[in-house]
Amino acid sequence: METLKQSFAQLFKSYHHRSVLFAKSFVRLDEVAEDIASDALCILWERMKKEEVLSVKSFLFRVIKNKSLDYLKHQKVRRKIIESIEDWESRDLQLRIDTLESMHEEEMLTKEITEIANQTLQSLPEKTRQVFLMSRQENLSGKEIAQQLDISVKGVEYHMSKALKVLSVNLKDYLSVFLFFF
Amino acid sequence: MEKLLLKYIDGQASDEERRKVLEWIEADPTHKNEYQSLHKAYVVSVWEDIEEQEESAVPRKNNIIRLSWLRTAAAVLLVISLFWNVRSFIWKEKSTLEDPMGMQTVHVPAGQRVELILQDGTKVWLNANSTFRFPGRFDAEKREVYLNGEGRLDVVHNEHLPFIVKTENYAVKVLGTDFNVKAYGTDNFETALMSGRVEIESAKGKKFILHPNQKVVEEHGNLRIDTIGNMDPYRWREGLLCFENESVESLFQKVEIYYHIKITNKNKKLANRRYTGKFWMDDGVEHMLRVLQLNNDFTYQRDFETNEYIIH
Repeated sequence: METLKQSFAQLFKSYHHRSVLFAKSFVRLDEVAEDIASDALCILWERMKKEEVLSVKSFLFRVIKNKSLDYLKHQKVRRKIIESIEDWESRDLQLRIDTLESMHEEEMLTKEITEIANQTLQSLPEKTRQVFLMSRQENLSGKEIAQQLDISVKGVEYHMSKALKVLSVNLKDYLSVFLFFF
Repeated sequence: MEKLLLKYIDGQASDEERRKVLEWIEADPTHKNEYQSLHKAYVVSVWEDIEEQEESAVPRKNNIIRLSWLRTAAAVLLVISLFWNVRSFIWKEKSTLEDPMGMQTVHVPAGQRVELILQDGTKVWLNANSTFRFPGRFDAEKREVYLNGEGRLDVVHNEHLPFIVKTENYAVKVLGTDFNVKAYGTDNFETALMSGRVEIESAKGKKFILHPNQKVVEEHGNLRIDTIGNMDPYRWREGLLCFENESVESLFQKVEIYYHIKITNKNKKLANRRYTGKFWMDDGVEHMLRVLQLNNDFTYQRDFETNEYIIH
């Protein structure tokens, strides 16, 4: 029992924060993202007790994706009831649903992609890399990063968006984005 | 724009910023691609294992020290944040008790129905032209919701947390039950119990207890207990409007509420006719009137501006 507990703590430590970040980038609300992340980790844990989970990341990705989609679709229906008109919030919801639906773990968590991402992060200028790595640590907000590195919050935002931009350029040929031709 | 996009992606953007981003994305299809590749890059980066990178990036000896320092720092932060979370959780609990802003409202338009699942798993079906208010999260002592209209509730049992449906004049208190409440404004309050047990309290503090297969009906301001003879009136969940040996006049009254229309009947002979039958709510008022015309001799006009039907 003790070892089980131990490894759940480890699991939590390695995956909780990224699960929250992943969910939050679609559902936006902290509480909802927290719920989805915790649920997903529990489901993963239950599954691991029964059988071997080949890829923990893929499993979590899939569960969080489905749960987030459920939530977003539910929100969409709710909006339709409350506001019978199509407003920008509904279009915003639809955009997030479409984007999340276009993401597949078998495409995004491949070794190839992981290696490119790894190389890209290594090649970033020191400061940018530092900011980026800190942002991935649990409980570090933009403000706290700014304080620790003695730069402005805007500076943190600059480094973050730069890191992301470089990553997206380097991944461009590997991740399919639906192209629209008119 | 990239900074704004990042905020949009990591969920930090304000409403106004979200709106700006959305407008930008909708302005040009290439913008949508740009946004989606950024979001994908973000998701890839989220799942990337960072510690491995640190290992190869910094000399090994340094790295061990840094890592253990980081671990201590992380542990301290974890304790602080845990404390903070618990604190803000308690604080939040209190504030939702007092804060009416935690309530959500669903209004069901005329002629439609809605099914909801509340936070505690309780299922709620709402009939046409009903308004239902409920907290996003129930508080620690009771589960309280407000209904103006008709609803069928299948309440998840929790003996420590009574479930109370408040209507204009009555409160229905439940401990794990399937029941139907009808209370459009102050008129014709009715509660029918399918299973479990409910207690109805009037504004004056008078209490009634219902047992399964019983209903309580308001007549001239007084409540009367009756047995449920026929389950058809509660089949609105399926979209059915059922009438049994019901006068056309009372049938029109119901239709007026469900479709939020006005029916003025100038045909005295028709008013007293009795009717048994079922209608699909989706078929609309006109369909029902045409069906009634098959057996009854009357004509009707519809005033599109006031949504009034006049029957001659």
